[in-house]
Amino acid sequence: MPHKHTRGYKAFWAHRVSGLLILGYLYLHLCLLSAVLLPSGSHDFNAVAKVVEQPIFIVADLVLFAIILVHVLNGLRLIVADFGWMIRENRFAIWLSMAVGAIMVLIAVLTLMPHLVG
Amino acid sequence: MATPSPVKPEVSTARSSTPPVSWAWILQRFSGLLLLVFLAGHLWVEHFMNARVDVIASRLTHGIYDTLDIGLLIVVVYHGLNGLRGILKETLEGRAVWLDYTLSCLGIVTVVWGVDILWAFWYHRPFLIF
Ligand code: HEM
Ligand code: HEM
Repeated sequence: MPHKHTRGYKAFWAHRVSGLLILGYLYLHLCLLSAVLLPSGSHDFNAVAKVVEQPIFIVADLVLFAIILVHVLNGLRLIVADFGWMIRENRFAIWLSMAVGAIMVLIAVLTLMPHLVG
Repeated sequence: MATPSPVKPEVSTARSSTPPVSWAWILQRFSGLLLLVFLAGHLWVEHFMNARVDVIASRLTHGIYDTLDIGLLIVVVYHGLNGLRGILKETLEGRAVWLDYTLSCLGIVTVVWGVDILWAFWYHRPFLIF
């Protein structure tokens, strides 16, 4: 665990929390899939599909995408650092990965806009 | 950033001083890179090719989509639980006698559960009853 005031402390926690959140999502995901996809399941897939097309779920989808990007881009930065690259430029690398993430979220928002506004 | 820290090394990555290079450590990075491919593929398929349940069903008769789903399932379960193991090892400090055993079982159960869900598409019946 990095020292509280060292660089990368916030990135460390962001990585840990985002990883755990996505792991939690995975189990939610499997619960929902087994409820709608198994013949023995209790819900009708197409009825659930209608519900998750509502704007609130589109927003949730974008939030999930953002959380995934935090973990993925930071994870890539860590792997790059393990090869000994961009370690001194660590602050820049964190900043760069989050900027790339922000752009990708923006593209996702624009792509899903038709579903968001109706 | 209120109090200036006495310890402020020039170089610091987001982990404690020396990374412990173990199989778990290497495989965490390797599975992370594999996930990049699987997850990007999955998110693409689910957002731009997803439709009704019959479309998913017909998609799952092509091996490539099963491979994508099962590959994603196995790798994400491994990576997520291995990550959780690292966190718990750090927190529990040696009091984690049953940790590896418990997490391995959880992983196997999760993969069987995931395959069971897809199984319904191949044989039109549940494999186990969940
Ligand atoms: C929000 C976006 C997502 C949507 C709409 C979505 C939708 C789906 C659907 C409909 C399936 C059924 C199988 C298929 O279509 O081939 C599936 C399977 C799966 N998804 Fe997702 N998914 C999403 C995100 C994720 C994420 C972020 C993960 C990883 C944490 C994930 C992991 C999986 C796995 C492992 C399977 C295979 C399930 C099994 O083996 O039974 N999905 N997803
Ligand atoms: C898709 C690309 C991904 C990449 C490139 C990636 C990369 C990484 C790397 C390099 C680490 C090790 C960090 C360290 O030891 O310093 C890590 C940890 C972790 N990952 Fe991922 N990951 C990805 C996806 C995921 C997903 C989908 C989940 C959730 C199921 C997840 C959950 C975790 C957890 C819980 C940890 C432990 C965090 C910690 O020790 O603080 N990762 N990831």
